[in-house]
Amino acid sequence: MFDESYDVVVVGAGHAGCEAAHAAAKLGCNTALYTMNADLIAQMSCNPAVGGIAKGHLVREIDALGGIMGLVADEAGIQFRLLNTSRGPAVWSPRAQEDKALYRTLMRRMLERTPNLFIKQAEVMELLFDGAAVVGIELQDGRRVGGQTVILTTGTFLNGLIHIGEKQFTSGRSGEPAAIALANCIRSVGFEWGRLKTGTPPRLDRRSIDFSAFEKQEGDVHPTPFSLRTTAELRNAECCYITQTNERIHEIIRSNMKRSPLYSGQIQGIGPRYCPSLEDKVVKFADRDRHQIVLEPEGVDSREIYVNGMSTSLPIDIQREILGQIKGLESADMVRPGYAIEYDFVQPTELHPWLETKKMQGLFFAGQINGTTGYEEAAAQGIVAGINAACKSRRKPYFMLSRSDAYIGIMIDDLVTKGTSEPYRMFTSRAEFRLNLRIDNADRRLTPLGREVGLVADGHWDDYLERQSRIERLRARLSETKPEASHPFFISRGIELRDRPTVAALLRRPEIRLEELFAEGVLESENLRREDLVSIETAVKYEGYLKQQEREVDKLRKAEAKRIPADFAYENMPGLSREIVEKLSRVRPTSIAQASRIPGVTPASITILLFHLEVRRRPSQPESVA
Amino acid sequence: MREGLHKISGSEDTIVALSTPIGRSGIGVVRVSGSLASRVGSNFFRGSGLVHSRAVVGCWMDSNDSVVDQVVAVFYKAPHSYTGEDVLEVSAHGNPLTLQQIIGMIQSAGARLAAPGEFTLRAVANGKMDLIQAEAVRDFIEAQTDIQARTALRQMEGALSRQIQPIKESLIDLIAHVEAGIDFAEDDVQLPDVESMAGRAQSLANSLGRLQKTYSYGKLLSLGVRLVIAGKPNVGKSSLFNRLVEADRAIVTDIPGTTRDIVTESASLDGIPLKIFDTAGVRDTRDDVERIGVARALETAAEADLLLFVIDGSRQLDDADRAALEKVRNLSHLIVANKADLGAFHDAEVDGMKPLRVSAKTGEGIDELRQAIRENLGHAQSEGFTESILTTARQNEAVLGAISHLHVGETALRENVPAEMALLDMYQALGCLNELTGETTTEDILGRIFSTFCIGK
Repeated sequence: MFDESYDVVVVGAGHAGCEAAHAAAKLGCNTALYTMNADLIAQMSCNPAVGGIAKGHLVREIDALGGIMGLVADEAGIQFRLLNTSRGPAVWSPRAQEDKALYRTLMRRMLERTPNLFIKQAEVMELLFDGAAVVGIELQDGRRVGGQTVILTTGTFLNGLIHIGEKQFTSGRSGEPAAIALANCIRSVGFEWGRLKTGTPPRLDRRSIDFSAFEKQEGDVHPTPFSLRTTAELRNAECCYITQTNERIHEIIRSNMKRSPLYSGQIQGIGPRYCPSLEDKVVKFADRDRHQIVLEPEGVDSREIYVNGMSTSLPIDIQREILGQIKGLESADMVRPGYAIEYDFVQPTELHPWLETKKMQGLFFAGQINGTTGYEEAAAQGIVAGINAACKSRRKPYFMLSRSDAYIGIMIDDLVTKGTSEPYRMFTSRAEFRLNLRIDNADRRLTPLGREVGLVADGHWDDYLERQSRIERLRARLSETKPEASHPFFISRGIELRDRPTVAALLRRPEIRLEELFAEGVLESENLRREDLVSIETAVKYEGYLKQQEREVDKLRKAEAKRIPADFAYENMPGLSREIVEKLSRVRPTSIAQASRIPGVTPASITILLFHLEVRRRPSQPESVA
Repeated sequence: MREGLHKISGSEDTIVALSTPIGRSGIGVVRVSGSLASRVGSNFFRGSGLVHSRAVVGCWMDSNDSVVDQVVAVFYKAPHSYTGEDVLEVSAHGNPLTLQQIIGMIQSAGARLAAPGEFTLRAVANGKMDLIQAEAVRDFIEAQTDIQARTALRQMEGALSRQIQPIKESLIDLIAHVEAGIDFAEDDVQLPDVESMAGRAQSLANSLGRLQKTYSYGKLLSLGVRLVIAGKPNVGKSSLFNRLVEADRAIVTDIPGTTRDIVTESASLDGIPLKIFDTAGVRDTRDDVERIGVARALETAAEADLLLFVIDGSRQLDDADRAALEKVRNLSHLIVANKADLGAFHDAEVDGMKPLRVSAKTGEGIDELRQAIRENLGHAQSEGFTESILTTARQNEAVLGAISHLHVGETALRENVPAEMALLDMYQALGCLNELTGETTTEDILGRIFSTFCIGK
């Protein structure tokens, strides 16, 4: 019946697809990765950067689980910055400008070196089902490929429609065809689908820009890697440049609003509130006389410059006019215009928390098809979908992360519990236990879980254990060492030490930094990594807050421990309104904790639910009725 | 939660209960809520058809087609009813046997008896009211004074929730601002400085602080006040008691030691329910019965919110007075010099306090005494609140919790603790306010509220 068969078939080789295929293959599954163009694997279709606030956390977490995005981003990085360092360590987040071409090359190399993983170039037209289970795919050339599990990571390709001014045409990404047949196949299964919109700014020719007109933004002196496994030196080969829009530009936009597909009604999909197009910013924040623009290099060898902040679907002549009003860009040459793209997504409430669809067994979704935006969000779902497709084909229990484990757990829980009405982006504020979910402890939170599931290789695991014991040793040393009060470090700062406190006690003072104690010889230096110091210092300095947070985590764990059976019948439950029954039946929460997060489910109905769970758990003890 | 909710079980989703007190009465109201309500109506009620929200006169029929009672029935179609479900209310004549029969018939049609508070629980579950309103329903039913009832009614109408809402909005706004600084550090968002954010946290704590102060009155209003009258024998305690309750309740004689047991009566001071206790005169005695009376008087006094220590203003303070006073002086008390009508009045300070001059016999000084009681209870204000007040310990705890978290958060901001840590307390403050209005809550809170309901509400 099939020309060939695999344990796991991944459709789409973007950031979600790459992580998914890598994870499934690493777990020993025969894995095929289908892409319409094998030269464009891991293409960065929008900005040439990985990480950022909360997104950097996701990359660290992927890495801690044994994923690959962090390793590739470190090696292809051309400018590294740790963001939010003026705030606490919980919200420090790494970001790097990437060499797009190098990123593609390195990711492809990584996949090609993965045993059991086969890269295939073909357009997937159709999913093949047997009853309520997926059994394979059909390709454009008519071949049928069997798959025990199929992971769709289709990005913006499903019924993709590009808008530039009054022009619109089907396309998956600029210059690439859309996936129309596959989109229609998914719609016909009966999934609740919708349209989302995203956009990208124009790219300019570096040679036509006068960079002296801008503020230069350099990389960090001590670059922070995404992956704790990265040992090679990180390179700051490029800079970014900052400038602003002005009133003249805003006037141009206002007087051409009729030509914006976003405002003419031509675009129906909902765009991200957090990454608005320039025309959106001008309309919605009319009181602001300027908006920030950052010029980002697309690579070391590339001549293209990405105009961050100027995402737009205005006609090309208007885009030119706008650029002409910015000092330094007056004669900028546009390599590619900005555009908006609409695409199909499926409401993620159609998914189980392990990213398998509820309607079709063996079918998994990851990335933009689930309504998210961002490379990191996509990759994070990809690794989870890849692990779970492997678990499914190996008949092993599913892999799920809690909200208290990881940003990945938060994102997936948000998606499958609440669905989304706009492209979903990760933020630290979505994490109610943010203080515990830091980049410096991502390995501690997740590497043991990745090891258990089988994705963390021996070398990775040894490094992890070594780092943990390094931290333990140093921590023990800090709680024993009592520095001399007469040390110049304390004298020069006017710090009086009474009762000879230990270094650990000293660290609780906000003004004392561990790194300085080493630098100024209060502590004898040894072979230490900055990441280790951050981990220790954070644990000691913010112990009180971390404990306060831990109490909240305990409450969640209790609610998570109250499991709701998969076949639980909400329909006949006394005291629940039809509306609430519908919501619960649609999401099918796995625990009371998840049920309580469903929008519109009232605390009182949770109480009723708890009561009925209790009754069901102890059916032998009938309740007395007053 | 366990107490009340454990009783809500069974597979049927229709509940029935007598909504009026058990016993003989003019009419008795039986209330049914759930999907069977409409069928119950068509099975047993004969009259012109039941239409949403209209009272219809008719007969309640049994299975032999004979009339059980003449009744008025009102049907409410979901969701436009108290519980948000189909509701049938049947007003029958208040004969307990008939009412029992009607309820039995409804049960046989598939409904079950409601647990305490279950009608209101369903109203909350169906989003018809929030927790404060549900509490208010209970308080309204249990109100003993008109002000209690009016306060509960205001809460039922959502006055307290409305008052907390803007504070909550403003807190959410503050949190959003701090969050924006964290999540959008890469973007060029313009944020207020730390000092002004701390200032906003402080002003929110102050608003909540003003609200919290109403609890001292709200507590008196909801729990009432125990007022104990004590003193040596024959100083006119019982006369004063009668004057305060304005009824001849206790026996009054000239024989010292007449009141050997505790006599109590309820009264109202500006709507605050007073429970007034008249006690045996405190003295050393050989009379066994009287000795027991004295011991009980002292026990009662120990539990008083306020003690009125009565002396005979027409005589000098004597050793018996002093001995009696010694036994109660550690309690919150007022010294009342009675018998002002007898002329010769001694107003020397007693125990560092100027006695309040009254005459239980003529009523002289009684208004001043009431005012002194009022002031002692910590509220000079009597009526005419423009704002709503906190009336339950649950509300008070939640507001106190929010205030304390806001203070910690504010201090953290000022001391440059990283914003994401300062936020921890802001979120906990918000959690307290959510708990108050019931938007996020724990099972215990609901259980505590609903277990204190009477059946049928």
